[in-house]
Amino acid sequence: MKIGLPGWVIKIVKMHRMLYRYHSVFGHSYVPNQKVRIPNAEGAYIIKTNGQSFRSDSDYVIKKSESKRFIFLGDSHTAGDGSVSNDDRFTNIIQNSSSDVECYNFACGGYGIDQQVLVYEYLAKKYEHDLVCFSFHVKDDIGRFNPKIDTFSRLSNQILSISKPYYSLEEKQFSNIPVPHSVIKSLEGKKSQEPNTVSSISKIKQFIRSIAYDDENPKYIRDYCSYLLKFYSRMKLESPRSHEYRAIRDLIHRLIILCEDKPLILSPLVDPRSLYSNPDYRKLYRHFTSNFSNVYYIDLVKDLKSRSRNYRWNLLNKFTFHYNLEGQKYVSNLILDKLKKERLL
Amino acid sequence: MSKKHILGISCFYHDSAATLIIDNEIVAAAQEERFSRIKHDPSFPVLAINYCLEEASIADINEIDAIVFYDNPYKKLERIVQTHIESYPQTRNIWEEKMDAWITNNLTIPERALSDLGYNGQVFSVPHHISHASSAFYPSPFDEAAILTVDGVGERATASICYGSGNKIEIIKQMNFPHSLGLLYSAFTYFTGFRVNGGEYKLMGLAPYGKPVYVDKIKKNLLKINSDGSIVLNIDYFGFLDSQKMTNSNFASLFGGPAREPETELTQRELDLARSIQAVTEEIILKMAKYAKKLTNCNNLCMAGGVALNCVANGKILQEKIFDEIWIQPASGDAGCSLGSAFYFYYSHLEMKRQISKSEDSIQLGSYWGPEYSDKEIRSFLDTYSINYKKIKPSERAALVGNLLAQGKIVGNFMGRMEFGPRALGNRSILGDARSATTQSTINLKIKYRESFRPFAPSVLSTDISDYFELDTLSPFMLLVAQVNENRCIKTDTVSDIFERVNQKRSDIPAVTHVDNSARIQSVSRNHNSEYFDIINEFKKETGFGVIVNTSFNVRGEPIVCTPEEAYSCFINTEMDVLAIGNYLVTSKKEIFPNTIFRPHYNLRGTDVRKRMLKQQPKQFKRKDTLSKLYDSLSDIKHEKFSRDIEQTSNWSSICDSNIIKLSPKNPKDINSIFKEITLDWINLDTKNLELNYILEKMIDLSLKAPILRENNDGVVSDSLYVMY
Ligand SMILES: [Fe+2]
Repeated sequence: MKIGLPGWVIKIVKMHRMLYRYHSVFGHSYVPNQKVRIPNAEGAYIIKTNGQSFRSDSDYVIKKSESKRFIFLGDSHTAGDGSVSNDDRFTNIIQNSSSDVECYNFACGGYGIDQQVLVYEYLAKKYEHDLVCFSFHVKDDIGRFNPKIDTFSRLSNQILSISKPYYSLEEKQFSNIPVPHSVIKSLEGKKSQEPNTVSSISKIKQFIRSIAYDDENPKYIRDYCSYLLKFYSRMKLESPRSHEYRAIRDLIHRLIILCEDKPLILSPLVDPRSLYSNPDYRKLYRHFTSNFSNVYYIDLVKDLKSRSRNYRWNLLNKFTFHYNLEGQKYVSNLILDKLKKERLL
Repeated sequence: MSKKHILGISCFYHDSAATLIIDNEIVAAAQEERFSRIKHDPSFPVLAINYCLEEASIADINEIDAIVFYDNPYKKLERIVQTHIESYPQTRNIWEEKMDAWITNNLTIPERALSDLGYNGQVFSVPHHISHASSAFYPSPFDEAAILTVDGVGERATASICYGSGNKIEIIKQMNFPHSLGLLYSAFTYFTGFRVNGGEYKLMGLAPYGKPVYVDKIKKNLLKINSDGSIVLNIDYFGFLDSQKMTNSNFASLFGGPAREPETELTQRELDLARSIQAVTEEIILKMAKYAKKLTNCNNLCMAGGVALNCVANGKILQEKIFDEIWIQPASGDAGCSLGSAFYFYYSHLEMKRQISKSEDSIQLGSYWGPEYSDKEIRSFLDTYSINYKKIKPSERAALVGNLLAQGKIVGNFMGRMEFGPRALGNRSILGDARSATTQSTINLKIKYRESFRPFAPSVLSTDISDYFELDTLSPFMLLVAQVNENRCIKTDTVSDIFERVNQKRSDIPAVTHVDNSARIQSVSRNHNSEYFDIINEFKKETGFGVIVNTSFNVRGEPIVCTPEEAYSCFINTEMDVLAIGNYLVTSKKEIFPNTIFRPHYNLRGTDVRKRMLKQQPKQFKRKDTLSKLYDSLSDIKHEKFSRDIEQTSNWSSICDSNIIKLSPKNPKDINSIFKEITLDWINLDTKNLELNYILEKMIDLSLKAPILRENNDGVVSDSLYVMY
């Protein structure tokens, strides 16, 4: 469900199996009981889903056993899509690190933060558990509070726009449920609408973009302007007045309420390549951790800053930019450390 | 001991495929075309390989112990170079156009395995006819058998007679290029306006409409047939040595005018040519089979190679009772070599013990080794595109489909694992009522959009074969032709118009009765496909007939459907009545992607990727210059000409290709050892010849410089070239 893939990647992801299906509440979900081998330039991995349509080798059951059960919410990065098989994901590594822990991974490729919270509210919450780990990705998912998602159709080899549920700030509710069924249609490259922007900044942005994309300009100027553009999007995302900021605040708050008194770990994943490009919500997370005693925060950026550039780059699959096995181990270690430190394990 | 995982692949010729075996068991086998949706796709089968590994839940390809390639590219190179030397200077264009891609693809198999698959383990190659022979013998239910392989051409060999016993295959005789029954048949395929490597089937279907009036002419001018089945072609009539055509002007004047243009009207000449070459083919095959019997004294025969798909000829071998039992590899074309080469490596190279199954059945069973789609996956597809369907109970499926067929409905039947081989054997099939006089033309014209002279195959209950056909053995793969029982046939008036004759009712199962009252039979056994058996059985309960029409689930020019999406898109774009897909019944037709769904655009594979890569190759034109210069050097090489001796009484050779070789990644700095590896088994060209050395070194150099240039996927390649390379 990645968009804008270059041709050779499209060749690689051309599959004889359907990975996602329509879902009336979440918009889409994995096809249940599916097994798909996905090759990519760094090798291949196998996606296996269970009867509940999530990536797991075994079915999820409501009643938990003696051991602790952790629930993970997230998108493709937490689901492991784009890089690793089920057993090589950080959630499985955590599970395999102790005989006393069971991890239920409710992440799904292409989910926005809104859908991840929705999954908890409508489904995951029913499964007995001791802890929730909210592992959304700060980069991919901000700004998808939107009734549509762009997706690549392997059937027609084109970019399509499909309906999804979304969180509406005005109504403080999830809208578009049940998700309309027949809105699968081709937009032929048209991107989904961007959320409201302040128009004067928009103009400046356009100006900078025109410089950045003009091949006539010297490279260092273009590079600098690209940096500004990235900075611009960050500025917008981080502004407490912005749609994104308010939505993420509301959604985390909603999740905290849904978790009742269960521990909630906020472990947002970030892009380790260029740390400055990740929107920074640390203030917001701290706000929650200081006001709610059951909320914890894992600061990936802080840890990554102490690592070398080489180390950080090696955490990702070079073609899909999702955490590879090294990256998964890295994330699992950080989470395990935190759990131990807070005596949650 | 850990289990051996062996991946066999065939590619770069036509119909590439992959097979995965784990120890002596087939895990998965499929043709690339089903995934890429490019009919007869010759490219490196990355998608089929991906499927095979998926089936075995193998993420890391380096868990594979060996990749085995289905022919010896080095020996093939010798034959190709020799051909060009012999035909110099007529073949300059072909050399310049095709050699670049050929050497780049064929001389860099281990490199390709690494770059496209990430595989850095061992890569081996098995001689082409050994691959065919293995595909016929190892999966067969026989402990000992004579093996006959006949095709267009492999490296040098065009046919072989082998002896299989236990885990060993010994090649006794081979016939060499250019003397080839496959090429002879393909020449007629081309001349009658059909596509070489694909249209042979149509030519065979046309034969019963004609008279064998050209048999003497063919035998007098085009070839000599020895009593042992070996042949000597008179290459003065053929174009495949020195042009881009299968036949030349001599051939045309012999048969009174140029080749028929594809898609134009068929005339009596084509019908008679089809009948005549069929008769000649049968004569040769029968002689070969008798000779194989004489050489091996075996009671059983195994067959493979493109010519073994000529089920009419196979039926004749059976009728003559030369052997007690026959087993023919269903994937008899080169796709089956992926399976054969993997087994040859396992049994012959690793010397593993072979045990015949107690059930006396082939380990290939019904040849269902492709992907299966679960009900959940199918339902996910139907729900996602809000297609209306009716859920059916698995226990009631057969009765429902059987009932629909009895009502005269044409049903697209999609279930279970996809077939390996060119025929649909029930799981990806369009089914109809064999009793109906209109079924044949309805399916041909409204569903398959193809020539309506082609008859359909009956699927008959294995228990009921003799009730309908003069056949006393099983024919699970539609590879045997036999007559419809005389008491079922109806006398018809002789009419000359071919389409009028198609519509004549010739028996009480007219939809599957050809004009000569023959039928190409698939016998369905419960142990191969119980669901399919039950469908026919239910049809029998309704109608009293244990036989139905089975034709492949596709439209003309498209590969057989593989996925639920393809099945549905084929369904909505044809006049099929019902789609039975898994345990769902679909009757309503709804466009799910206007303008896009039919003929999915999977061609991205060949196009975008290549464009990108070609862009990175500004030196492309220089390569052509180099090749052109090399071609000129060919004129200086002395060589022995291909034999044209028609006096000899046998054209079988006892010098046979049987060596497995290891293909190693090449070190560009050590061109000498590469040279040695390539020419190791060369026989006809003098590898000490300095000119030849020079040419080869340059070619190796070219292949190593451009390992990223991918195969030429132009789609329609010249008819004859496909055969030669
Ligand atoms: Fe062959």
